[in-house]
Amino acid sequence: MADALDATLDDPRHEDAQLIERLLAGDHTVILRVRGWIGAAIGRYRGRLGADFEDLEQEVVLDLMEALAAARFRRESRLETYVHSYARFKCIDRLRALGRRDMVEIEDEALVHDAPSPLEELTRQENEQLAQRVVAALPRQCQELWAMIADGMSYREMSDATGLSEGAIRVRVHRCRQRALALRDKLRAGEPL
Amino acid sequence: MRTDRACHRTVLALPWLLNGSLEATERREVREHLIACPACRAELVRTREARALFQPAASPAVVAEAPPTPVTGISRPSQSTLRRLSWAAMIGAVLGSSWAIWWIHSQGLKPEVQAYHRSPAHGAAVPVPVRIAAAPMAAPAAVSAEPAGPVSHGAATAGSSAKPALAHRSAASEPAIRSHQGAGRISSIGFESGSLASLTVPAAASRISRFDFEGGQLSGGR
Repeated sequence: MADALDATLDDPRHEDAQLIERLLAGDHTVILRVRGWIGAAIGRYRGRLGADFEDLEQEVVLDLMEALAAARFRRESRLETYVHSYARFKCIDRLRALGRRDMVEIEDEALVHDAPSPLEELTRQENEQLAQRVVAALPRQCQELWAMIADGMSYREMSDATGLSEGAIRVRVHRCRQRALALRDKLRAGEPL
Repeated sequence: MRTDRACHRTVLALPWLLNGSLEATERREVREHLIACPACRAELVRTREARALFQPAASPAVVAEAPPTPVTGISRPSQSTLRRLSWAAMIGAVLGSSWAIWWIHSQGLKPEVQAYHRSPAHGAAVPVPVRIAAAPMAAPAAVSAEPAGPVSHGAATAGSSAKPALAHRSAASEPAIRSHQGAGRISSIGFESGSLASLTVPAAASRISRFDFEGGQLSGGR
């Protein structure tokens, strides 16, 4: 009897776990279902968001997938409830950000709520040093291309600035990315460059 | 739809998805593909990591996609914001002028320099242009009355019932101000098109303290 009750209680969690697995695997049916939950949660803000609504909906789906992949859903509620709350939170956050951005240009909206711990600070410094070594070891063109990306330039603007075609820009940036990550992994492993 | 070609296009576009410079159509296509493709989502994570190498201040865990920016790179305020701003400007102008009137009355302002000139023909005082120095807004508005023409003190036309007026033109350059000898307090302030146009000062012995205007707006004083 107790086992049967336990099984009943576990079923919703089991169902949610399966949904998450299928969602992250790209199951079209589950994706549609989850997007339906998101739409229900933020549909009332469609008018206020205007053209941003579709962008926001996509962002919510992607961010949600990332959160689920990182196991940030602690299963204290049903998945649908979590998705609903998550979507509403993102929506309200976006509305606030839109209100601010209309007044001033905000480049960095990351909010730091707590001061980093000494370990976090040390990690940050190590990452910075690692990044500097990686960048210094890359060809100059890679550094310049990624600096343009960091400045917010589009590939069209970069093509105009460099004289390279848009396709060539994309390919070169991608190769630089591959090189940078390979160098980073080598340095982390303690191997010589 | 997941195809190798779609994956290839998506992966190549990821750096610009992250810096927010993709145009709307492409951005939505890339995101739709990412939603359906776990492999490309993994590439998104790697692209974030690479981006963090070139922007060490932003760690991959913190940096989300940058919000899309307009093609022109200039953020334009929404219509509702423009309406709010225009209402705020109007309310601010009304409040500012009301405060200025109160402040002027409370100070018992009198012209510091009796800038008038006795007309040789009629013996009546005529206004003399004076300069107002513009200053950034900080304190109550003030006008410095620097007479540009002959000044005679004390004599003449006190008691003239002609409405003494301090007036300036709301222009980008230093506005002119005309001051009549007067006494007592400023009795009215005139505005034109939202800009201060005149301060009316009753006759003799009144002192003008310093009003600073910038672009026709009350900006500082003492």
